[in-house]
Amino acid sequence: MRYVRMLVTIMSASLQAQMAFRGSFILTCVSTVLEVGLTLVFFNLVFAARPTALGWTYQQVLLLVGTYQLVEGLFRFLLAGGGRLAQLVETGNLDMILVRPCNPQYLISIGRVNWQAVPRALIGLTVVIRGALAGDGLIEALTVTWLAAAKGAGLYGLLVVAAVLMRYAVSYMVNTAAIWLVRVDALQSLAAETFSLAQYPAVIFKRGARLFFSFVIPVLFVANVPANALQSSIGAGMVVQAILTGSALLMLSHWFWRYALRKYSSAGG
Amino acid sequence: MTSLRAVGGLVIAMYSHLPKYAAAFKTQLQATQEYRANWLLSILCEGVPLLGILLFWSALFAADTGATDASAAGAVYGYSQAEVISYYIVIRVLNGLFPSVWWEVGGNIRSGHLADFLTRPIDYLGYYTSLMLATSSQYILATAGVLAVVALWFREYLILQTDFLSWLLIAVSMVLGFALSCLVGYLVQLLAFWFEDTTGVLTAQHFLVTFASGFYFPLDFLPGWFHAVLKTLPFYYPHFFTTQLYLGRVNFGEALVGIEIEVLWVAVLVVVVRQQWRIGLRRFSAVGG
Repeated sequence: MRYVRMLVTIMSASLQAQMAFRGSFILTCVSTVLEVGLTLVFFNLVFAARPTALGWTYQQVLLLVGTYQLVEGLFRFLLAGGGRLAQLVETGNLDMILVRPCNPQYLISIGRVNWQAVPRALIGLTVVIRGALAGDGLIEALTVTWLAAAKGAGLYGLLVVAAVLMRYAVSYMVNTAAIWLVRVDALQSLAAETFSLAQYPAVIFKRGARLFFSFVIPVLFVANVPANALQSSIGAGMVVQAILTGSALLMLSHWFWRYALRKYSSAGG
Repeated sequence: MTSLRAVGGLVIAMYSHLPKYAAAFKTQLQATQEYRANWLLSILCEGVPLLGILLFWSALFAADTGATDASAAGAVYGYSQAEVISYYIVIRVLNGLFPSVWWEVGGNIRSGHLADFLTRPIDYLGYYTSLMLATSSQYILATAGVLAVVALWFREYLILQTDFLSWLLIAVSMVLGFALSCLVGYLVQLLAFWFEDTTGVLTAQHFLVTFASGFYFPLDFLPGWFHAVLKTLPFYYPHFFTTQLYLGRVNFGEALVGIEIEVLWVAVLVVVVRQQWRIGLRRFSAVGG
């Protein structure tokens, strides 16, 4: 409960801080909306020229792109605070966090709630709903029973949570490397760019790459698996695998963080 | 005439003080090398999204009408597979070469550190251009390896421009494109004289520049009227126009018109930047500097 209260307080303080420059805040939100819109325009143009390219329809691609934006938006909104870890190490301010009576990984992770990422998540969700209603999966379930639709949506929600955890865990492990390397901005970009591959259908990758992006860096679990779940084309094994991967990566990130802390020598902050 | 005088003045000033700018160039090279693993990795980062988009297009063309031979597939919006693949490779290289946002200028204005430069016998725009040149020249060297791998991977579909005249036009367009990118980035940074937080403006500028430069997709995929509107913007020329020259999709007459427009934009922006600088300096109070 204490951790929830802490999250609410940080969310409120972050909103106030970001709204201090209201014009800048609004412009950033508008740019985010336009950026996501442009991705949709790109796929719209491609699928207008090739209506069933790669065995996917435009509606199915909407589910994929929408899911990626939803996962990325949620991650950037709530859990991207690890991005400031390098700065905390460099300035020595990490010490100030380590002495507080709270789990430092939690405090760092939620320490930079970014409200400017909310439009990204909202557009992602809207696009997913639009794609689901226009496609065959969820709408088909809706016509059968509401219970089936609720189950479909619930399963999708679960897979999205697992995807956010995967995105967070990999990102946090990359940021933790700052304890040794100090500068990790390039590694952060590499992680973000690698996860951006999630917005493409898995079919573009050859077998080796598909295995790599499933078991080494779980890019395909971020959007392809939840999008497939909405189209009712996913087995129970895949759902279990997604949840286990998310949980395992979260634990791995925590273990790696604790290991890194043992190697941490304060910069004298 | 005013524009010509301003451009001429800048070139003469830079030439007569060349050693100072050469020193700034060298310092920037050294600064980048301080964290060279991080810097090399950042270059590698650019290969990931490029690979993603190239794999997407390759799969799309290969899957087209069930053709097993990708080269047999039909064109998309007038682009063959080779043109699309080459387009994305060239546009990403140009995107890395031409700076879009240079945060340090705005940071120096806000923090007051700009005062350090005002007391030195150096032109700040010239200094800033030297830093940009250093970053870009290092980028060329570093991307050579990454590009060689990507080019080798997609060698079957890579268009190699062999016409000397086209290369000449590309070289001119690249020089002008570099100047345009520097000036646009610099102009936006000067807003820091007026606004305490310019993050929103910079994000918007970055979006506009990347979109209007054809970074996401070829601009001629868009409806004709929209493409015509984008042609009036300075962001269109450094990346998209240069790429079109490389692909041989513009004739000689159109190429000359494009280059004339680039020259015009450079001249206009030099005047605007100089004026903004003068007006901004009057407001500058060097807080904390």
